[in-house]
Amino acid sequence: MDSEVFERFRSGDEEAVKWVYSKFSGAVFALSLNIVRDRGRAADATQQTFIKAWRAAESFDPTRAIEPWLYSIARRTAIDIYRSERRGSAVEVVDTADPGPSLDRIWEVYQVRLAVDQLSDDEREVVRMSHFEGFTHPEIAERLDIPVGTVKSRSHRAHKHLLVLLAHLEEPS
Amino acid sequence: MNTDDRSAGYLADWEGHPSGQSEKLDATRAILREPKTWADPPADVEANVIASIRAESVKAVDTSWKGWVPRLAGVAAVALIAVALMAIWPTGTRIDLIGTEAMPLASGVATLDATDSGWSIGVSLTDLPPAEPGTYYEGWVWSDDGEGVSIGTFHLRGGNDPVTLWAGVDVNDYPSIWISVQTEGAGNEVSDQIVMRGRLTDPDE
Repeated sequence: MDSEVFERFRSGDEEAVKWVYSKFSGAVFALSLNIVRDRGRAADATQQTFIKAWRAAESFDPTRAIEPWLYSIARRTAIDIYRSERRGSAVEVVDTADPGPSLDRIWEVYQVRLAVDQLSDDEREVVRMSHFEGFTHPEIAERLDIPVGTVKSRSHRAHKHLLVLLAHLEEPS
Repeated sequence: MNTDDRSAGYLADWEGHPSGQSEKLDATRAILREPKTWADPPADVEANVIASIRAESVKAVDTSWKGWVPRLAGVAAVALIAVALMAIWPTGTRIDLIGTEAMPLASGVATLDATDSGWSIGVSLTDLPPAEPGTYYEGWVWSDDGEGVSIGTFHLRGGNDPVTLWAGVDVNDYPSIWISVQTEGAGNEVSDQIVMRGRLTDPDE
């Protein structure tokens, strides 16, 4: 992230806040949803994360990557909300022995969503339709009204792009 | 993970690339299939973030003025200027209250002021309907250890005028505020119908 943009974010510049929000809110929300498992609480967590980040920006070194820093704030905020909700509930909560996603998995969700949000709109749409909606290339071509060959090349380009963006999650060989 | 065509094909789950060849790529494919991965926050969250930061920025300006003016003008001038500033800028810590899924359109602001008697919590609410007959709203502050303290009740049947609630505990130790719907005669415990939430955030976070 551009240090000038971060400086503007730190000062509360509205356009910079909007820019940071648009770039990271999807990943923060996806992370929060995986922890609190409720859209309303995930929305609370997302809102609190960005406000906390702004408050803490004064002590953040803008030469460092913002993603891990924002991730730690978001994860802690979501866990706080989840714990607070469970402790405060008057209803007996039966533990289903589901421990929820692991920290590794939450980090991967955050990274995958960040990567997806960096794709172009065309690439992102093909990836979404392919994985999330489960459409085949001919089905995507029909829905987007483009040739199957275009879908294939776009999908290939998008997934190569994703691999580059997710290279830091590489497993040891 | 190589960035070659084969890995891209594997990640894309094309024919000829069955799962089980790469743990990390399988995990990524599983995440890409998850609805949660693609979910976006509600549209009002961005506006709430911007409004909160704007409100706190104004308070920060207030504080910085109070810091350097005394050095320039002396104690007497400070007293006059402080009075002027208090008339211009709002005082008290503000907490945004957000409607839960039970009342998603509701929004509000709680303004905290320390008094000799405890914390005065002024609550302004929007789009929270009057409590239905036989029910009422109750405000709570919650500690991070899960201990809740009631800060008062209200019903809004006469309109959405601001409500003043009171906390006899230190809100720094009870940083979350909830509004619940309670049923008359159902006891003093918080119900499971939480309609609004907000949280005081540590200044150093």
